[in-house]
Amino acid sequence: MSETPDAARGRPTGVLLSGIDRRAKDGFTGVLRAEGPASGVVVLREGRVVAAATPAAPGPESLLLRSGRVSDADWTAAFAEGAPHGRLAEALVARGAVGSAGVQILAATALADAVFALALRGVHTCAAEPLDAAATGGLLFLSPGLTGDDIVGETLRRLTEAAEWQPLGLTPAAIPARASDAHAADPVLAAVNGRRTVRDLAFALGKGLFVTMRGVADLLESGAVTLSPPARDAAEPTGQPGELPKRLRGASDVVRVLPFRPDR
Amino acid sequence: MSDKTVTEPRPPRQVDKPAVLGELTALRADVPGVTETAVASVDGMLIVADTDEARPDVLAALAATTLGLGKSTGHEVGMGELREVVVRCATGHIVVYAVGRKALMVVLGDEGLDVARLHVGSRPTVQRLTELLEP
Repeated sequence: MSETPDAARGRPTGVLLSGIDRRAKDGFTGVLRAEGPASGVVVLREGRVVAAATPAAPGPESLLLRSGRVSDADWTAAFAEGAPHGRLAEALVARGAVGSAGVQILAATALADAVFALALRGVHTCAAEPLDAAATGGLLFLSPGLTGDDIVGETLRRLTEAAEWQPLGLTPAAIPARASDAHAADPVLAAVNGRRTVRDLAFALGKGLFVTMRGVADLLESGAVTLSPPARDAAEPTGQPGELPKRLRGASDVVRVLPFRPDR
Repeated sequence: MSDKTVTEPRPPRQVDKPAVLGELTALRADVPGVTETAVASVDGMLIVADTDEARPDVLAALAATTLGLGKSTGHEVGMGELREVVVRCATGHIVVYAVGRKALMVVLGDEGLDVARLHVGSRPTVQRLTELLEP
């Protein structure tokens, strides 16, 4: 018997999503600092989630610059103008680099992708801190922000989809390789070089991690790529001293949406 | 009879390149965002590279220059031993570490590279590379 994934059932149990859920319901204003295999921050204002960032997923700067939607000069000027005051979104719009609707879509996309990336990798600790304008000024804030239920629901939906890719070996750390040397019209396939992880592909393309994983899943299904396991999966402890923090079993929210395995 | 001792010139020591390459590929696997790495002598001669798009010989030479400039600047302002040189560009990072007294490691990373995590993860790597290059 398997446990059917259901994002709407019950409250989230993972460290990150339960933290967001609880703080949002409390009307929290501040930063949730997540630590685990990938670190990151989630920013809330009066209970609404307004920004999130992690090295595990491309942020707004990567999404805008790598895709060519905004020039480096415009980004640099808007950052200098808006970031010190936490008004990067307003500065981008004021310079005409992005429309007001476009900047909100971008902020929401980056936010949802960052929370998904953190939840997928697993979070060990999630500490609440006061809002530090100097430390978070470079983030692109969504106004008025997502409710806790919205972001938790969306993340669980994505985790459910990612769980379907797990049997294929598709994780952010997996390394796709082309099945043939033929010319690749698909941009994701064209960026596959046998060295980049799925997470690296997302940065190279300026696309979200979730969208990139879905693109690689399609390529896997069509037989255009094969997957190599990570050279050394950071999630697996090697027992050697002085290494990075390792993922703790059960810390990931993804376990909530995986089928029940009585042998585990 | 002279009491001077004559020292035989030491033969050039062979570097265990597979072991050095193993350290570089392990670092790339361990730290998300690391894309390419190389080890070179402080005078810019390439020893081992784990590169894709970067030209290894040119990268080695420029990294040596970067390291030298960092050391000179640190010395000038009296800030002690150089730890590393970090260069941040629009779409990535370049980080150069001193490896012992005679070598360096250059790490290229994308813009999402967690530099703080790299510094933690790279310390054991630098230590082991020092042992491999200066036993």
